[in-house]
Amino acid sequence: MAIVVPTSYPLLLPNDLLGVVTPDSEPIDMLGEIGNYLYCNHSPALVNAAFNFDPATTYTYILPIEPSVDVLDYEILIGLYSATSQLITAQFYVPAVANPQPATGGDWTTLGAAHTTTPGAATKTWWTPPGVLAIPSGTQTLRLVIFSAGAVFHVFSCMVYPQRKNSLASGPKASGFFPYNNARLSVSGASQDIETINRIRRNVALTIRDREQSLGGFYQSAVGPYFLASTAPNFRYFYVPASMPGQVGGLVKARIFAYDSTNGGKLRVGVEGGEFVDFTVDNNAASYRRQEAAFRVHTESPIFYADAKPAGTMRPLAISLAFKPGQ
Amino acid sequence: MLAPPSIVNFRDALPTGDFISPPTSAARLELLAGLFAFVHGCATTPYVSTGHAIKYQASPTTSVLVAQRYNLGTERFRLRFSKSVRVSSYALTPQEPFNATCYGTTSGVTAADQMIVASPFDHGQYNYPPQDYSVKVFDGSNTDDPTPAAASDRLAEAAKQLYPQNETFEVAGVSGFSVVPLLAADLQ
Repeated sequence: MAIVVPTSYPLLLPNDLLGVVTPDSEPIDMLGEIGNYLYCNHSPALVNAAFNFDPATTYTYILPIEPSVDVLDYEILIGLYSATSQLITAQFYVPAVANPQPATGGDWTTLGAAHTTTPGAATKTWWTPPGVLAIPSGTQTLRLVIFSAGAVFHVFSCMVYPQRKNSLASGPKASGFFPYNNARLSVSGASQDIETINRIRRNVALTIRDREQSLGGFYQSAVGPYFLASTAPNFRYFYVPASMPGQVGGLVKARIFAYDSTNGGKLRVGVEGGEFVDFTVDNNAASYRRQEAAFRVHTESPIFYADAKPAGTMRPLAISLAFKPGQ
Repeated sequence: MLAPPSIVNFRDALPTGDFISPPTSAARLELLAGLFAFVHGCATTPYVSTGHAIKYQASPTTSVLVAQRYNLGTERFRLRFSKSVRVSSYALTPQEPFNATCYGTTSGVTAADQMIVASPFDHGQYNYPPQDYSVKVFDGSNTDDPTPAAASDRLAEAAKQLYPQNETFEVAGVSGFSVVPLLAADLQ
């Protein structure tokens, strides 16, 4: 009589459904536990960013997101390189104002503790900072500031994804998920009710729908020696392949964090041979602005692109893509 | 009996309404089978693979570190790259190959483990950003050789477990990188 969370995917075989199915035990009980497993283990990357950079001592990255409404704990994975062994510090932030600017400290509130590491000299390193990020529901943007003790270093990439759990508190979640408790089914000869069946299916659907899956994009630091701005009449920020197995017709959200020194710049984000969205990038008092639009992808093997037609000098800090299941 | 992973298209398959309603009997076999197929499919559908836009890094790093998060049921990855060439240098004497190269943590990190995909360009250089539309997407081979004797064009391995994991890659010579998850024949 408990909320059981399997630590790995429980294998239910099709032949478990054959013959006499005892309603007070398997397979219904295990199907319910798979829902619990999925809630605690479904962990696609919320952020999976490869950074466009030249070596620097400080980087400030903007990561547009739409996190789970259930305020999950997220783990972090960062790829680093430093020619010398030195202290590296990373701190995440969430917006404190409606239109935060990357270089304005007062526009941001720290999220979790600052973490440090000292990678070995001249060695490419994967760093998993301890602890987790409890990203508040409704957060639209993360800010990552990562800096060294004084020498230039590389930050190749950063991935943020839900932490796998092995327990689940009772009670409904904001997403609508309701933990499956086997209490009723533990009673010998218990009847099987329709609401239990429906809740198992609903739990799985709500979990998948609530967690977006990063498709990557383009990210560059707000400070540092490398700053890819465009005044060219046409400019391509990325042209990358991705993979979306089974998701023909899937909805992709494109988010940009950018400004153009002159009103009227255009930034087109789309899938090769398919749909796209056009953003109008303005100077907005020379400040960055987050925008979001969606398009559908009619292939399992999309090639995404971002093309700009700047009016002045266009400066995008992020052009991100995310798959929204169930939409 | 096998328990292969399956794939669900989430666009239409994630209704949050009722699966059955009265006066349906709850324990009918076909309902259980339908529920099983839905739950199993959702739990084993691969995650989408991220498309990383990669800027060339000069020596000493030359390559970059990027990661992919993948779902259970994945056994191999087929590599996908984009590679660009600057048109203004296209007329120059051939100076490639600059093949795309990749290490995967699970696939091994020794010289023999390296995956090499030949460059589709024989002129110019690979460049970032991929402007001038002189860019091409190409796939690695489907050759499955988890214990290669030498660097080759092959599939990358995944640590096959019954829960989601990270796979980390070190890639060079590309302007975009992703993988196609290939599913195991059986989860057991």
